[in-house]
Amino acid sequence: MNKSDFALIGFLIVIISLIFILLYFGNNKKVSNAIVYYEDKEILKIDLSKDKIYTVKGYNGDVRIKVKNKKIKVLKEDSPLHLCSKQGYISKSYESIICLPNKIVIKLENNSDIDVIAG
Amino acid sequence: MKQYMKYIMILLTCLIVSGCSKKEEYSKNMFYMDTYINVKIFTNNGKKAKEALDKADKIYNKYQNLSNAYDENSTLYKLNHNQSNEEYIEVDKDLYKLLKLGDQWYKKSNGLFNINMGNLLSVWKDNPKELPNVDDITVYPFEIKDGLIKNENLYLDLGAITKGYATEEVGNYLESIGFDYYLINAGGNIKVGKNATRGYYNIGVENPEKKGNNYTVISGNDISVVTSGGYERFYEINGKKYHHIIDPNTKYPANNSLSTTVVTKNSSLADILSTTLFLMEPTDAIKFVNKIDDVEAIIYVNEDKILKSKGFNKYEQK
Repeated sequence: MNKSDFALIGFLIVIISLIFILLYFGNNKKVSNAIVYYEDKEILKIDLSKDKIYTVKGYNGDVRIKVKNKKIKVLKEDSPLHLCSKQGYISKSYESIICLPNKIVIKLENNSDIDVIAG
Repeated sequence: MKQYMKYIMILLTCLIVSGCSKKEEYSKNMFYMDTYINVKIFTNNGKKAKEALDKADKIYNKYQNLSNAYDENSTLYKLNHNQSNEEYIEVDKDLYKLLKLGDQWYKKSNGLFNINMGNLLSVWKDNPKELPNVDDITVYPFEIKDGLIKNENLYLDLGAITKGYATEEVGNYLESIGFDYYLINAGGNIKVGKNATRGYYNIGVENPEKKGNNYTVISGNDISVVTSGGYERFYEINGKKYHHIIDPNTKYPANNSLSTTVVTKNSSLADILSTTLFLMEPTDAIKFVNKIDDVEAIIYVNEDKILKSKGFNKYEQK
Protein backbone atom coordinates (compact mmCIF):
# COMPACT_ATOMS: atom_id res chain seq x y z
CA MET A 1 0.00 0.00 0.00
CA ASN A 2 1.38 3.32 -0.97
CA LYS A 3 0.26 6.85 -0.29
CA SER A 4 -2.20 7.03 -3.16
CA ASP A 5 -3.97 3.87 -1.92
CA PHE A 6 -4.52 5.49 1.45
CA ALA A 7 -5.73 8.64 -0.27
CA LEU A 8 -8.21 6.60 -2.29
CA ILE A 9 -9.53 4.79 0.78
CA GLY A 10 -9.78 8.07 2.67
CA PHE A 11 -11.65 9.61 -0.22
CA LEU A 12 -14.09 6.70 -0.40
CA ILE A 13 -14.76 6.84 3.34
CA VAL A 14 -15.58 10.55 3.13
CA ILE A 15 -17.92 10.01 0.15
CA ILE A 16 -19.74 7.12 1.84
CA SER A 17 -20.14 9.07 5.08
CA LEU A 18 -21.59 11.98 3.12
CA ILE A 19 -24.07 9.70 1.35
CA PHE A 20 -25.27 8.24 4.64
CA ILE A 21 -25.52 11.64 6.30
CA LEU A 22 -27.53 13.02 3.38
CA LEU A 23 -29.83 9.99 3.31
CA TYR A 24 -30.37 10.13 7.05
CA PHE A 25 -30.91 13.85 7.55
CA GLY A 26 -32.59 14.29 4.18
CA ASN A 27 -35.58 12.34 5.56
CA ASN A 28 -36.03 14.41 8.66
CA LYS A 29 -36.86 17.88 7.45
CA LYS A 30 -39.86 19.84 8.70
CA VAL A 31 -42.96 20.47 6.57
CA SER A 32 -42.03 23.62 4.77
CA ASN A 33 -43.58 23.25 1.34
CA ALA A 34 -46.92 22.38 -0.17
CA ILE A 35 -47.08 21.06 -3.69
CA VAL A 36 -50.03 21.76 -5.96
CA TYR A 37 -50.84 19.36 -8.78
CA TYR A 38 -53.20 19.72 -11.72
CA GLU A 39 -54.01 16.14 -12.68
CA ASP A 40 -50.55 14.61 -12.69
CA LYS A 41 -48.54 17.78 -13.24
CA GLU A 42 -46.85 19.71 -10.46
CA ILE A 43 -47.94 23.30 -11.11
CA LEU A 44 -46.87 25.14 -7.99
CA LYS A 45 -44.63 24.74 -4.98
CA ILE A 46 -45.72 26.85 -2.04
CA ASP A 47 -43.48 27.99 0.79
CA LEU A 48 -45.61 27.63 3.91
CA SER A 49 -43.54 30.09 5.93
CA LYS A 50 -45.04 33.03 4.02
CA ASP A 51 -48.67 34.05 4.55
CA LYS A 52 -50.00 34.62 1.08
CA ILE A 53 -52.86 33.94 -1.34
CA TYR A 54 -52.23 32.04 -4.56
CA THR A 55 -54.39 31.43 -7.61
CA VAL A 56 -54.06 28.38 -9.85
CA LYS A 57 -56.09 27.23 -12.84
CA GLY A 58 -58.37 24.27 -12.16
CA TYR A 59 -60.62 22.39 -14.57
CA ASN A 60 -63.63 24.65 -13.79
CA GLY A 61 -61.62 27.87 -13.44
CA ASP A 62 -59.54 29.64 -10.81
CA VAL A 63 -58.78 27.93 -7.52
CA ARG A 64 -57.67 30.30 -4.76
CA ILE A 65 -55.34 28.93 -2.11
CA LYS A 66 -54.51 30.63 1.19
CA VAL A 67 -51.49 30.11 3.40
CA LYS A 68 -51.58 31.35 6.98
CA ASN A 69 -49.47 30.40 10.00
CA LYS A 70 -47.90 27.48 8.10
CA LYS A 71 -51.35 26.07 7.31
CA ILE A 72 -52.94 25.88 3.91
CA LYS A 73 -56.50 25.82 2.63
CA VAL A 74 -58.56 26.32 -0.50
CA LEU A 75 -60.36 29.64 -0.28
CA LYS A 76 -62.55 29.54 -3.34
CA GLU A 77 -63.21 27.26 -6.29
CA ASP A 78 -65.99 26.48 -8.73
CA SER A 79 -67.61 23.09 -8.08
CA PRO A 80 -71.07 21.69 -7.28
CA LEU A 81 -70.45 20.78 -3.63
CA HIS A 82 -67.40 22.90 -2.71
CA LEU A 83 -66.00 19.97 -0.73
CA CYS A 84 -62.42 21.15 -0.93
CA SER A 85 -63.06 24.75 0.14
CA LYS A 86 -65.26 23.45 2.98
CA GLN A 87 -62.43 21.22 4.17
CA GLY A 88 -60.53 24.10 5.79
CA TYR A 89 -56.89 24.29 6.78
CA ILE A 90 -54.48 21.37 6.70
CA SER A 91 -51.04 21.34 8.28
CA LYS A 92 -50.03 17.73 8.95
CA SER A 93 -47.77 16.25 6.36
CA TYR A 94 -49.98 13.25 5.63
CA GLU A 95 -53.04 15.41 4.99
CA SER A 96 -54.08 16.52 1.53
CA ILE A 97 -56.76 18.61 -0.14
CA ILE A 98 -58.41 17.19 -3.22
CA CYS A 99 -60.60 19.32 -5.46
CA LEU A 100 -62.04 16.56 -7.59
CA PRO A 101 -64.08 18.55 -10.12
CA ASN A 102 -61.12 20.89 -10.56
CA LYS A 103 -58.53 18.08 -10.71
CA ILE A 104 -56.39 19.96 -8.22
CA VAL A 105 -54.49 18.12 -5.49
CA ILE A 106 -52.58 19.87 -2.71
CA LYS A 107 -50.09 17.78 -0.77
CA LEU A 108 -47.71 18.70 2.02
CA GLU A 109 -44.17 17.40 1.87
CA ASN A 110 -44.21 14.24 3.96
CA ASN A 111 -41.94 14.17 6.97
CA SER A 112 -44.06 12.10 9.33
CA ASP A 113 -44.19 8.44 10.22
CA ILE A 114 -47.62 8.12 8.63
CA ASP A 115 -47.49 7.12 4.96
CA VAL A 116 -51.14 7.47 4.04
CA ILE A 117 -54.66 7.80 5.46
CA ALA A 118 -57.42 5.22 5.01
CA GLY A 119 -60.84 6.76 4.76
CA MET B 1 -0.87 -6.49 2.38
CA LYS B 2 -2.34 -6.52 -1.10
CA GLN B 3 -4.91 -9.12 -0.06
CA TYR B 4 -5.96 -6.99 2.90
CA MET B 5 -6.37 -4.03 0.57
CA LYS B 6 -8.62 -6.06 -1.73
CA TYR B 7 -11.00 -6.87 1.13
CA ILE B 8 -11.23 -3.22 2.06
CA MET B 9 -12.08 -2.32 -1.53
CA ILE B 10 -14.78 -5.00 -1.67
CA LEU B 11 -16.22 -3.82 1.62
CA LEU B 12 -16.25 -0.22 0.45
CA THR B 13 -17.88 -1.14 -2.85
CA CYS B 14 -20.62 -2.99 -0.98
CA LEU B 15 -21.20 0.03 1.24
CA ILE B 16 -21.41 2.36 -1.74
CA VAL B 17 -23.82 0.08 -3.56
CA SER B 18 -26.06 -0.32 -0.53
CA GLY B 19 -25.89 3.39 0.18
CA CYS B 20 -26.84 4.35 -3.34
CA SER B 21 -29.50 1.74 -3.97
CA LYS B 22 -32.12 3.74 -2.09
CA LYS B 23 -35.23 3.27 -4.17
CA GLU B 24 -36.70 6.26 -5.94
CA GLU B 25 -40.40 7.03 -5.76
CA TYR B 26 -42.40 7.10 -9.00
CA SER B 27 -45.93 8.35 -8.58
CA LYS B 28 -49.00 9.07 -10.67
CA ASN B 29 -52.25 10.92 -9.86
CA MET B 30 -55.46 9.83 -11.54
CA PHE B 31 -59.12 10.76 -11.30
CA TYR B 32 -61.51 7.87 -11.80
CA MET B 33 -64.71 6.57 -10.19
CA ASP B 34 -65.48 9.92 -8.68
CA THR B 35 -62.30 9.84 -6.65
CA TYR B 36 -58.62 10.75 -6.52
CA ILE B 37 -56.24 7.84 -7.05
CA ASN B 38 -52.49 7.87 -6.44
CA VAL B 39 -50.16 4.97 -7.27
CA LYS B 40 -46.57 5.03 -6.03
CA ILE B 41 -43.84 2.58 -7.02
CA PHE B 42 -40.45 2.47 -5.27
CA THR B 43 -37.70 1.20 -7.54
CA ASN B 44 -34.45 1.99 -9.30
CA ASN B 45 -35.94 1.23 -12.70
CA GLY B 46 -37.63 4.51 -13.60
CA LYS B 47 -38.45 3.67 -17.19
CA LYS B 48 -40.21 0.45 -16.28
CA ALA B 49 -42.00 2.19 -13.38
CA LYS B 50 -43.44 4.87 -15.67
CA GLU B 51 -44.73 2.23 -18.05
CA ALA B 52 -46.29 0.36 -15.13
CA LEU B 53 -47.98 3.54 -13.88
CA ASP B 54 -49.51 4.09 -17.31
CA LYS B 55 -50.78 0.53 -17.27
CA ALA B 56 -52.26 1.10 -13.78
CA ASP B 57 -54.05 4.13 -15.20
CA LYS B 58 -55.46 1.96 -17.97
CA ILE B 59 -56.74 -0.62 -15.48
CA TYR B 60 -58.66 2.00 -13.48
CA ASN B 61 -59.96 3.49 -16.72
CA LYS B 62 -61.14 0.05 -17.83
CA TYR B 63 -63.15 -0.50 -14.65
CA GLN B 64 -64.64 2.96 -14.81
CA ASN B 65 -65.88 2.31 -18.36
CA LEU B 66 -67.12 -1.09 -17.31
CA SER B 67 -69.09 -0.26 -14.22
CA ASN B 68 -70.11 3.39 -14.00
CA ALA B 69 -73.87 3.10 -13.41
CA TYR B 70 -74.42 6.71 -14.46
CA ASP B 71 -72.50 6.70 -17.74
CA GLU B 72 -74.71 5.84 -20.72
CA ASN B 73 -71.74 4.32 -22.52
CA SER B 74 -70.65 1.96 -19.75
CA THR B 75 -71.14 -1.79 -19.99
CA LEU B 76 -73.10 -1.74 -16.74
CA TYR B 77 -75.46 1.02 -17.88
CA LYS B 78 -76.22 -0.92 -21.04
CA LEU B 79 -76.98 -4.01 -18.99
CA ASN B 80 -79.27 -2.14 -16.59
CA HIS B 81 -81.14 -0.50 -19.47
CA ASN B 82 -81.24 -3.41 -21.89
CA GLN B 83 -84.30 -3.87 -24.11
CA SER B 84 -84.03 -7.64 -24.40
CA ASN B 85 -87.05 -9.88 -23.86
CA GLU B 86 -84.96 -12.88 -22.86
CA GLU B 87 -85.38 -14.19 -19.34
CA TYR B 88 -81.61 -14.51 -18.88
CA ILE B 89 -79.06 -12.38 -20.68
CA GLU B 90 -75.35 -12.72 -21.20
CA VAL B 91 -73.00 -10.52 -19.16
CA ASP B 92 -69.59 -9.17 -20.21
CA LYS B 93 -66.90 -11.50 -18.78
CA ASP B 94 -65.11 -8.87 -16.64
CA LEU B 95 -68.38 -7.49 -15.36
CA TYR B 96 -69.55 -10.99 -14.48
CA LYS B 97 -66.57 -11.45 -12.15
CA LEU B 98 -67.67 -8.37 -10.21
CA LEU B 99 -71.28 -9.55 -10.10
CA LYS B 100 -70.17 -12.96 -8.89
CA LEU B 101 -68.28 -11.41 -6.01
CA GLY B 102 -71.31 -9.26 -5.23
CA ASP B 103 -73.56 -12.34 -5.29
CA GLN B 104 -71.22 -14.24 -2.99
CA TRP B 105 -71.31 -11.50 -0.32
CA TYR B 106 -75.01 -10.83 -0.82
CA LYS B 107 -75.55 -14.40 0.35
CA LYS B 108 -72.95 -14.33 3.13
CA SER B 109 -74.36 -11.07 4.51
CA ASN B 110 -77.99 -12.20 4.30
CA GLY B 111 -78.83 -9.56 1.73
CA LEU B 112 -77.24 -6.64 3.59
CA PHE B 113 -74.54 -6.17 0.96
CA ASN B 114 -76.63 -5.68 -2.16
CA ILE B 115 -75.18 -4.38 -5.42
CA ASN B 116 -78.64 -4.16 -7.01
CA MET B 117 -79.81 -1.05 -5.14
CA GLY B 118 -79.18 1.56 -7.83
CA ASN B 119 -82.84 2.64 -7.72
CA LEU B 120 -82.53 3.41 -4.00
CA LEU B 121 -79.01 4.87 -4.09
CA SER B 122 -79.89 7.31 -6.86
CA VAL B 123 -82.46 9.17 -4.73
CA TRP B 124 -79.82 9.77 -2.05
CA LYS B 125 -76.97 10.37 -4.46
CA ASP B 126 -77.43 14.00 -5.44
CA ASN B 127 -77.63 15.41 -1.93
CA PRO B 128 -81.39 16.00 -1.79
CA LYS B 129 -82.57 19.19 -0.07
CA GLU B 130 -85.51 17.37 1.49
CA LEU B 131 -85.84 13.83 2.74
CA PRO B 132 -86.68 11.66 -0.27
CA ASN B 133 -89.77 9.49 -0.29
CA VAL B 134 -88.41 5.95 -0.22
CA ASP B 135 -91.66 4.10 0.53
CA ASP B 136 -92.31 3.32 -3.12
CA ILE B 137 -88.83 2.01 -3.75
CA THR B 138 -88.39 -1.75 -3.60
CA VAL B 139 -84.97 -3.29 -3.06
CA TYR B 140 -84.66 -6.36 -5.26
CA PRO B 141 -82.26 -9.28 -5.15
CA PHE B 142 -80.50 -10.33 -8.36
CA GLU B 143 -79.78 -13.74 -9.80
CA ILE B 144 -76.78 -14.85 -11.82
CA LYS B 145 -75.57 -18.21 -13.15
CA ASP B 146 -73.06 -19.41 -15.76
CA GLY B 147 -72.26 -16.00 -17.21
CA LEU B 148 -75.92 -14.97 -17.36
CA ILE B 149 -78.10 -12.64 -15.28
CA LYS B 150 -81.87 -12.85 -14.77
CA ASN B 151 -83.31 -9.97 -16.76
CA GLU B 152 -85.69 -8.62 -14.17
CA ASN B 153 -85.49 -5.55 -11.91
CA LEU B 154 -81.91 -4.71 -12.75
CA TYR B 155 -80.63 -1.71 -10.80
CA LEU B 156 -76.99 -2.70 -10.50
CA ASP B 157 -74.66 -0.17 -8.89
CA LEU B 158 -71.12 -1.42 -8.29
CA GLY B 159 -69.87 1.60 -6.36
CA ALA B 160 -69.16 -0.53 -3.29
CA ILE B 161 -66.97 -3.01 -5.19
CA THR B 162 -65.24 -1.50 -8.20
CA LYS B 163 -62.62 0.68 -6.49
CA GLY B 164 -61.39 -2.19 -4.36
CA TYR B 165 -61.54 -4.64 -7.24
CA ALA B 166 -59.58 -2.42 -9.62
CA THR B 167 -57.04 -1.65 -6.89
CA GLU B 168 -56.51 -5.37 -6.28
CA GLU B 169 -55.89 -5.88 -9.99
CA VAL B 170 -53.39 -3.00 -10.09
CA GLY B 171 -51.52 -4.38 -7.06
CA ASN B 172 -51.40 -7.87 -8.56
CA TYR B 173 -50.19 -6.46 -11.86
CA LEU B 174 -47.35 -4.54 -10.16
CA GLU B 175 -46.25 -7.67 -8.29
CA SER B 176 -46.44 -9.77 -11.47
CA ILE B 177 -43.86 -7.57 -13.18
CA GLY B 178 -41.55 -7.51 -10.17
CA PHE B 179 -42.60 -4.32 -8.36
CA ASP B 180 -43.09 -5.47 -4.78
CA TYR B 181 -42.58 -2.01 -3.28
CA TYR B 182 -45.69 0.07 -3.88
CA LEU B 183 -48.45 2.11 -2.26
CA ILE B 184 -51.88 2.61 -3.82
CA ASN B 185 -54.36 5.14 -2.48
CA ALA B 186 -57.67 4.94 -4.33
CA GLY B 187 -59.67 7.59 -2.53
CA GLY B 188 -58.87 6.16 0.89
CA ASN B 189 -58.87 2.54 -0.29
CA ILE B 190 -55.29 1.67 0.56
CA LYS B 191 -53.26 -1.25 -0.76
CA VAL B 192 -49.57 -1.55 0.05
CA GLY B 193 -46.79 -3.91 -0.96
CA LYS B 194 -43.43 -3.90 0.76
CA ASN B 195 -41.79 -0.83 2.27
CA ALA B 196 -38.30 0.12 1.13
CA THR B 197 -37.28 2.44 3.96
CA ARG B 198 -38.96 1.46 7.23
CA GLY B 199 -39.81 -2.17 6.49
CA TYR B 200 -43.55 -1.60 6.96
CA TYR B 201 -46.14 1.07 6.16
CA ASN B 202 -48.03 3.17 8.68
CA ILE B 203 -51.61 3.76 7.60
CA GLY B 204 -53.51 6.33 9.63
CA VAL B 205 -57.23 5.88 10.29
CA GLU B 206 -58.93 9.23 10.63
CA ASN B 207 -60.94 10.05 13.72
CA PRO B 208 -64.45 10.59 12.30
CA GLU B 209 -65.15 13.19 14.99
CA LYS B 210 -61.86 15.09 14.73
CA LYS B 211 -60.72 15.99 11.27
CA GLY B 212 -57.01 15.63 10.53
CA ASN B 213 -56.41 13.37 13.53
CA ASN B 214 -55.90 9.62 13.49
CA TYR B 215 -57.51 7.50 16.18
CA THR B 216 -55.37 4.50 15.29
CA VAL B 217 -52.46 3.66 13.03
CA ILE B 218 -52.29 0.35 11.18
CA SER B 219 -48.77 -0.96 10.48
CA GLY B 220 -47.95 -3.67 8.00
CA ASN B 221 -46.82 -4.91 4.61
CA ASP B 222 -48.81 -6.54 1.83
CA ILE B 223 -52.17 -5.46 3.20
CA SER B 224 -55.25 -3.56 2.10
CA VAL B 225 -57.02 -1.13 4.40
CA VAL B 226 -60.44 0.30 3.60
CA THR B 227 -62.58 2.59 5.74
CA SER B 228 -66.29 3.21 5.28
CA GLY B 229 -67.91 6.14 6.99
CA GLY B 230 -70.35 8.93 6.56
CA TYR B 231 -68.13 11.66 8.00
CA GLU B 232 -66.35 12.74 4.86
CA ARG B 233 -69.00 13.12 2.22
CA PHE B 234 -72.24 14.15 3.82
CA TYR B 235 -74.97 16.76 3.52
CA GLU B 236 -77.58 18.26 5.79
CA ILE B 237 -81.36 18.17 5.65
CA ASN B 238 -83.16 20.19 8.34
CA GLY B 239 -79.96 20.43 10.35
CA LYS B 240 -79.37 16.66 10.38
CA LYS B 241 -76.44 14.99 8.65
CA TYR B 242 -76.95 12.34 6.00
CA HIS B 243 -74.48 10.33 3.93
CA HIS B 244 -74.40 7.90 1.03
CA ILE B 245 -74.11 4.43 2.59
CA ILE B 246 -77.68 3.20 2.50
CA ASP B 247 -79.17 0.35 4.53
CA PRO B 248 -81.35 -1.85 2.26
CA ASN B 249 -83.70 -2.59 5.18
CA THR B 250 -84.44 0.94 6.38
CA LYS B 251 -83.69 2.50 2.96
CA TYR B 252 -81.99 5.30 4.93
CA PRO B 253 -78.31 6.06 5.52
CA ALA B 254 -76.94 3.62 8.09
CA ASN B 255 -76.05 5.02 11.51
CA ASN B 256 -74.76 2.09 13.52
CA SER B 257 -71.25 3.49 13.77
CA LEU B 258 -69.25 6.49 12.56
CA SER B 259 -66.66 4.46 10.67
CA THR B 260 -65.64 0.88 10.02
CA THR B 261 -62.14 -0.11 8.88
CA VAL B 262 -61.13 -3.48 7.48
CA VAL B 263 -57.59 -4.87 7.13
CA THR B 264 -56.93 -7.87 4.93
CA LYS B 265 -54.71 -8.88 2.03
CA ASN B 266 -57.27 -8.57 -0.76
CA SER B 267 -58.44 -5.06 -1.59
CA SER B 268 -61.83 -6.00 -3.04
CA LEU B 269 -62.63 -8.05 0.07
CA ALA B 270 -61.62 -5.10 2.28
CA ASP B 271 -63.86 -2.81 0.22
CA ILE B 272 -66.89 -5.11 0.38
CA LEU B 273 -66.50 -5.88 4.08
CA SER B 274 -66.01 -2.29 5.22
CA THR B 275 -69.39 -1.41 3.69
CA THR B 276 -71.03 -4.57 5.02
CA LEU B 277 -69.78 -3.96 8.57
CA PHE B 278 -70.93 -0.35 8.40
CA LEU B 279 -74.47 -1.64 7.73
CA MET B 280 -74.36 -3.97 10.75
CA GLU B 281 -74.90 -3.39 14.42
CA PRO B 282 -71.28 -2.99 15.70
CA THR B 283 -71.07 -6.03 18.02
CA ASP B 284 -72.67 -8.21 15.32
CA ALA B 285 -70.18 -6.78 12.83
CA ILE B 286 -67.23 -7.83 15.02
CA LYS B 287 -68.71 -11.33 15.46
CA PHE B 288 -69.19 -11.54 11.69
CA VAL B 289 -65.60 -10.56 10.94
CA ASN B 290 -64.16 -12.84 13.64
CA LYS B 291 -65.54 -15.81 11.69
CA ILE B 292 -63.63 -14.87 8.53
CA ASP B 293 -60.00 -15.98 8.27
CA ASP B 294 -57.26 -13.36 7.88
CA VAL B 295 -59.59 -10.39 8.10
CA GLU B 296 -59.42 -7.84 10.93
CA ALA B 297 -61.56 -4.81 11.65
CA ILE B 298 -61.84 -1.77 13.92
CA ILE B 299 -65.13 0.04 14.40
CA TYR B 300 -65.48 3.59 15.69
CA VAL B 301 -68.95 3.67 17.24
CA ASN B 302 -68.26 6.84 19.22
CA GLU B 303 -65.47 8.41 21.27
CA ASP B 304 -66.01 6.01 24.17
CA LYS B 305 -66.75 2.91 22.16
CA ILE B 306 -64.19 1.52 19.76
CA LEU B 307 -64.50 -2.18 18.92
CA LYS B 308 -61.76 -4.40 17.49
CA SER B 309 -61.76 -7.87 16.00
CA LYS B 310 -59.80 -10.49 17.91
CA GLY B 311 -56.57 -10.30 15.89
CA PHE B 312 -56.58 -6.57 15.19
CA ASN B 313 -53.87 -5.76 17.73
CA LYS B 314 -51.15 -7.28 15.57
CA TYR B 315 -51.53 -4.37 13.14
CA GLU B 316 -51.68 -1.57 15.69
CA GLN B 317 -48.63 0.63 15.92
CA LYS B 318 -46.76 0.04 19.14
